[in-house]
Formats: sequence, structure tokens, C-alpha cells
Amino acid sequence: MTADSGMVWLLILTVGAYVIGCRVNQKVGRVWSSPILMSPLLIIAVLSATRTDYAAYQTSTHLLTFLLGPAQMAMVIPLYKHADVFLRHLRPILTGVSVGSCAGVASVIGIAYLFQLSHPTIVSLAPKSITTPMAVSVSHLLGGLPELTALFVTMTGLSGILIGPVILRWAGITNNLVKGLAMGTAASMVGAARAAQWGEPEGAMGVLGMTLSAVFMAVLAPELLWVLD
Amino acid sequence: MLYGIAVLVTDFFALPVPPVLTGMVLFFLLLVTGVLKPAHFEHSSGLFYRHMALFLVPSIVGVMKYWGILRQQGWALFLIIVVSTIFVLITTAWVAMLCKQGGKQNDGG
Repeated sequence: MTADSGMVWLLILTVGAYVIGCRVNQKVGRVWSSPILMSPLLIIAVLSATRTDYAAYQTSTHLLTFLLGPAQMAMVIPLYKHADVFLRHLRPILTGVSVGSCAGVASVIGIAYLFQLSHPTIVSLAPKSITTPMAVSVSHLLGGLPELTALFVTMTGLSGILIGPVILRWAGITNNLVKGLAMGTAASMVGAARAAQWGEPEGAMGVLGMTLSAVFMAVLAPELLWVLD
Repeated sequence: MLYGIAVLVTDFFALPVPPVLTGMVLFFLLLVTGVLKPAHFEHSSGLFYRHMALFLVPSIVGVMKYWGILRQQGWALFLIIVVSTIFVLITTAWVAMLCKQGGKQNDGG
């Protein structure tokens, strides 16, 4: 098999696995059946069955990974549409997101030291609450392992939508906008999507929480590097 | 296309931030100043937005490279992630609520 045909085959596999994941999710409609979890599992199964090297897979799906950047930029639009909500509650939003993000990073580093995890692993964990492309960039900047970070972001997103609504109710949060903000800050894209189920303003607050925490993290990252070393 | 410009700008000034962030700020400024209209992007961005997960899939497949780490420390990692997610959720929500109430009292209503 030539290198070229191998590349196309793997790209088709990825898109195919994603489509299957979406279909199954529509039928089953459960959190664990989300295509973000199902499709990678399917692809890993096929790759190991055909003994395909991960490096080959990585090269052939480079196009998709590259498109993640522009895809991320599309998030600006809902943010722009709901700019008025943001401006009305500027101070609580900014304080909430920055304190929340700090608490997240601090708790990650604290518990990770308790478990005596390796430095690259801790650094890969630190940006896990922000959206994947940003988290991967931050992780790369800090000397972490981007693939691990991508996994951690996904695990965070899934745990966020599983426990988020319950935890927030238990914490006595009744304001839906605040709930949306917290979901976006804690579980980024997946959390914001869950918040959007409560309504469009809630979804926009989710996107806002996700974006602000990402910005905050990017600004904080060089400082963090200094602290960790 | 705009993303390409953002990558160039970030490289040029050697900014310590990911190009995505530069691009988002740039895009937002262009929308606010009215150079670009959101209607222009309604279609293409909607498609990107809905299928964001597709672009994430290859990165997650990359996990197979680190199977060893996961097998050794899977439970610790899982615990860290769940606990810190709870931390972020509660602190963000409580601080935002506190701040809002404080602000209201200062305004006298």
C-alpha cells in the first residue's frame, strides 16, 4: 500500500467514525454515547486491529487537527450576539471566572503533588478546564503532553456535564445565567453546550465562561511555568 | 483565512499566547467596529460550531500513545479531574453570586 492511499483511508475512517458516533448518539441520547467519546474508541479499535501506527494516523488527520483553530474562532459569534448580557454583569462574571479558574488550577496541582505525579503529567492536567485547542497550546507552552491534555479536557467535559447540574443544584445556585457561566468555565465546550439546553442566554454565558477562562489561562500560563519550576 | 492572519500576527510579534486567542480578539474587534457583519459568517460558523467534536477526535485518538501512563495512574487522574471540576463549578458560581449581591447592595437596589 502506498503512503497516499493509506492517508486517505485514515481520514475517511475518522469522519466515518464521527458520523457513526453522531447517529448512535441520536438513537441512544445518553451522555456516555457522545460522539466525542464513541468515535475515538472506535478508531483506536480499528487502528489496533489493523496494526496501524499512530504516527501514520497523526499525519493523515493533520488537516482535521489544523481546522480546529478556525473552528474555535466561530465561537466569537454567539459571544458578540450576547455582548449586552456580558456588559451588564461585567464584574461578577470576571471575578467568578478568574477565581474559579485559579481554584481549578490550584486544586489540580495540589492533588497531583499528593499523588506524586510526574511533572509533564501535572503540566498536562493544569489547563484541563479550558477549551481543547487553547489547552493544548498552553500545555505545549508549559512542556506538557498535548495528547494527554486533549484527553483530560474531554474527561473534564464529560464529568462536567455528568455532575455539573447536580453539584450546582446542591450548592444552591438558582440563577440560570450563573449556572451557565460555571458550566462553561469548568467544562468548556461540552459544558457550554449543556448550558445551551437551558436556553440561549445560558448558552452564551457558557461560551463566555469558556472564552474568559481560556483567555485568563493563556495570560496566567507563563506565570504558572515559573511557579512550577 | 482570518485564522491564517492571526497565526502570522502571533508569530510576528512572538506573542506568548496561542494564535487562536489572537484570532478571536481580532475577529471580535472587527465585528465590534462593524468591518465584518455576523451575517457573513452565520452559515460557515454554524457548521463549524455544530461539528466541533469532529476536529477534536484525532487529538483524543492520540491518547493511545500514552496508554502506559493511563494504566498506571488512571484512577488518580480520574479523581483529580472530577474533584477539580467540582471546585471550579462551585467557586465560579458562588463568587459570581456573591459579587452580584454585593454589587446590588452598593447600588442601593
